[in-house]
Amino acid sequence: MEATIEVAGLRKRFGTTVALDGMSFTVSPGQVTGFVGPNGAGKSTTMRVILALDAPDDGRALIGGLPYASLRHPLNHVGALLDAAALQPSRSARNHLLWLAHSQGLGTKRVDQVIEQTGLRPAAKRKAGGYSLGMRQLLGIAAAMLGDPPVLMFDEPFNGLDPEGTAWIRGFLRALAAEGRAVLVSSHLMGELQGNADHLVVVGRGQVIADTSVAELLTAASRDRVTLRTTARPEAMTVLSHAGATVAATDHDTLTISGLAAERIAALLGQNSVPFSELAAHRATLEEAYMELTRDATEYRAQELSSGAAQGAEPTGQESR
Amino acid sequence: MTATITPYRSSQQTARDGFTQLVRSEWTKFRTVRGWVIAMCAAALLTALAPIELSATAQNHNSLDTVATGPAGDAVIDDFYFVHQPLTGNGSITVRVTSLHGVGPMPQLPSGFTPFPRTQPWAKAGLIVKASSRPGSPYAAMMVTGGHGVRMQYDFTHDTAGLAGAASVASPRWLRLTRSGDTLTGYASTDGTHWTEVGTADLAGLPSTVQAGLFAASPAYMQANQSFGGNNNGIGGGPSQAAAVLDHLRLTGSWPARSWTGGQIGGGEGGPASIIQSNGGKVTVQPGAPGPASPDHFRQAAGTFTVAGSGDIAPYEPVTDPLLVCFYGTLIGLIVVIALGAMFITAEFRRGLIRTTLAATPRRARVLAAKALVAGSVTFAAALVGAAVAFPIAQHMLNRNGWKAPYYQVIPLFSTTGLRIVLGTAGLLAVAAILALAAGAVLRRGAGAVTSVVALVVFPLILAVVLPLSPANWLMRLTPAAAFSVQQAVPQYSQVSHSCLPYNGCYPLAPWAGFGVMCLWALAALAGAMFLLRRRDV
Repeated sequence: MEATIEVAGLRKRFGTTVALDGMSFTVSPGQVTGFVGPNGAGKSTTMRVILALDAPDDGRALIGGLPYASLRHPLNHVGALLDAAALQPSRSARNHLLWLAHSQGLGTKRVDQVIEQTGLRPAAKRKAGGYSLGMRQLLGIAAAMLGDPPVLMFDEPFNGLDPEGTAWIRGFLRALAAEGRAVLVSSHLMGELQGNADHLVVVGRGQVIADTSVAELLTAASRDRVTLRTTARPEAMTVLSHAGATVAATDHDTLTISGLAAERIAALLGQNSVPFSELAAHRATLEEAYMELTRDATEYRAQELSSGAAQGAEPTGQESR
Repeated sequence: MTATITPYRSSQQTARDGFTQLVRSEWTKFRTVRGWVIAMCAAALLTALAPIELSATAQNHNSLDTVATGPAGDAVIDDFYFVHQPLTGNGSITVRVTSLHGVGPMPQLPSGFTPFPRTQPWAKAGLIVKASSRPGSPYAAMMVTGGHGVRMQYDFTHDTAGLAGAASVASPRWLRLTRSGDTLTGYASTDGTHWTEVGTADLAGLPSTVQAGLFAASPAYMQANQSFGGNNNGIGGGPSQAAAVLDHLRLTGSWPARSWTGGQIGGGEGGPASIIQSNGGKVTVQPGAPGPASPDHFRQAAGTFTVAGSGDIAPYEPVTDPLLVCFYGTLIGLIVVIALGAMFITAEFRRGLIRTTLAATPRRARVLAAKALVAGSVTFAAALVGAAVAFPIAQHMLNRNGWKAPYYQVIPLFSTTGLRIVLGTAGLLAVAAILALAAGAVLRRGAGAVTSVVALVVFPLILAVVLPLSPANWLMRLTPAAAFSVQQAVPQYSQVSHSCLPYNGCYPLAPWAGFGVMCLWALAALAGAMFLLRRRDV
C-alpha cells in the first residue's frame, strides 16, 4: 500500500456553515506536508473526514488508495493525533495506550516501545488527567505511533508546547519523513512550520489556496522584489519611479522595489550618483507568504483565487460548479 | 523528489482482525478506570445487602388461610365438600354432570371493585379418588369447572384440560376415573358412550382402600383492586359456593355400590364442618350443621345428586411473595449499574475519546457490540455474586420473621427456582446496563441516558403501585420493568385465580417472559444506537 493521503473534492456543510468547499490535495511519502490555514479553514474537518469520523457530503479521502473505513487495523496504516485532550482523566497513560493497542491486536511490548520512543516512561503510570498539555501531546503522538504506520497526521501538535518540546517534535517529524513516511501536520501558524515542512497545503474557507513546495512558495511571495538600503531615500525613489519601478519605503533608510531587476537598479543609481549601502533580492518569510495568501482568501471569492493565485491548487470538477 | 523515497512499511503486522481483540480492548478500558471498578463492586455489594436488609425487617407472616401440607410437603388448600365411601382395590367410577353454578350469598364489595361472576371460573365438581379424608392427602379428580371446561387434576399442582365448555342438561359432561394399582386414569365423554382419555395420575403409595366419590368446591371470590392515588388498594372478596347436579353415578369392577357419606374436608370458607349423612336417598342433617349463610350440602333423590361446596383443592399461593419483595432491594444496585453502563460510552463522548475509539475501529457497530458484551458480562458477574449471597441469607431472615413452612418453603439456591431468581437477577442488571449503554450511545449525555433508563426500568414499578390495576399490569407487561418477574419465588399456577397486586410481587407475565420483554427493549435500543452511531459524525 502506498503511503499517501489523497483528498479529492471534499464538501461538508454543518448547518448553514460551509466547512469544506471542494478540498483537494495529496500528501506524499518521505516529506512533511504542512497543512496551514486560519482557524476555521477546514483543517480539522478534513482530518476527521480522512479518518472516517465525519462523512463528507461529497468527495472522497483515500489512504494509499483505500477508504479509511475499509482498513481492518487502521492504526497500522494511519496514526493520527487529533485532540490531545481526548483522554479519560483517571486512566493512566500506559493503560490508555494499552486499550488502543489491544484494539489493533497489539500487545504490551509495542506499548512500552512507543512510551520509550516519546520519552513518557517516567510518567507512564500516572493518571493522564494530571498531564500537562505538552505531555498530552506526547501521549497523543505515542498513540499515533502504536501501529508504526506509514502515514501520520498531527493536528496542531505544537499547541501548548515549550520551545524545547517544539524542537523535539520538529526533529521527530523530520525523522519520520526521512524514514519514508507521509507526514501531514496542521497549524494555524505558518511560523511553526518554517524550516520544518517540505511541502505546504495552504487552505482557507474550506478550499486549498496553495499546494506547493516551500521553496516555490517563498520565491513566488518574494516575486522580483529588491531591498535597497540608502541614505538618500527621496532621490532613489525619484530615479527608480521614473524608470517604472514600484517603490515602497519600508524603513527610514530602506526601500522595497519591485518591477526592476537588481542589476538595473544598481546601474540606474550609479548613473544618477545616488549612494546606497546595500542592494539585495528580497527574501520573503514563510509567514509573509502565508499572510499574503490568507489575506487574499478573506478578501476574494475562493474561486477567483484558485484560478489566479494558486500555483498548483488542483482544479477539480466540483470547483467549476 | 518523491521518486527517491522508499515508502515506509509498518513493522506492526497483526494477524487478523477479531471481535475478540475489540472485546479485550473494551475490557481493558473498563478495568483501567478505578472508579468504575469500585462502583461495580459497590453495585455487587448493594445487590447483596439491600435484599438482606429488607428481609431482616420483613413483616411477620400472619396468614388467615387454612392450609394443609400436600404430598410434596408444600402448602395446599384442601377444602371441599366430599360425598364419599371407602373403596378397596381396582375399579372405576362414572358420573354425569348436568350443571355447575354458583349459589349462596355474594360478598358485599367496596366501591371501585367490579362485580363478581356468579359462578367462579375455578368452581369445580365431579369425581375424586383420595388416599384418605385427611386434608392434603394424595388424590386424583375428574371435574367440570365454572369456566375452564373439563379438567383432570391430581395432587394439587397437576392440571390437564379435557373437554371445553360448561356442563348443562342439553350438553352434559360424563366423567370417569379408573383405578389400576397406583395409576388413575381420567376419561371424559359427552354421551357416556364415546370416551376420551384426559390424563393419568400416578399416585405412588396409594393405599388399597381409598375414599372415592363426588365433590364440589368453589374458591373464594377474590379481587385485587388498585386505583389512582391508592385509595382503594387491596384485595376484596368473600367465600363462594357452587352447586353441581350429578346423576348416573356408577361403580364398576371390585367397587360395590354402598351408601354415600357427605362431609366437609378441611376448614373451608363455608363455615364449620358439617356432617350430612345420606342413606338410600334419605338425607339427615346432623347437629352442628353449617350456619345459614353458606350451608355446604348434599342431596340425593332418584339417582340425582346435588352437591354444593365451598373452598378449593389447589396449591396454596400466598398473597405476598416475600422473597420477591425483598429482592426489590436490587433496585439500588440496578441504578448503579445503569449509571455505569451509560458512562461506559458517554464518558467517551464527553472527552472526545470516542474519536480515538472509532478511528481505531471504523466498524462502529462492532465497537458498540463489544462494549455491550463487556458491560453486560461485568455487570452479570458482579450481580451474580451479590444475588447468590443475598438469596440464602434473605430466606433465613424471612424464616426468622415467621415465613415458615408450610406457608413458605425455603427455596434451595441450586433448584430451578433458586437458580432462576439468582441468574435472572444478574441478567436483569446486566441487560439494564446494556440498555443504559445503548441509551448513552443515542443521547451522548450521561445524565440524559441515566434518567431515561431509570424512568423506563424503575419508574414503572412505582407507577404500578399508584395506577389502577389494569394500566399497572400493562406497564408490567410492556416496559422493561416486566423483567422483575424473574425474581418471583412463589410459583403461580394456572389452575388458581390470581388476585394479587404488582406491589405484592404478582406480575402479569411469567418470569422468563418478563425478562424477555426487557431483552427485547435492550436489543431494540442497541440496534437504534448502532444505526445512529454509524450514521452520525463524531
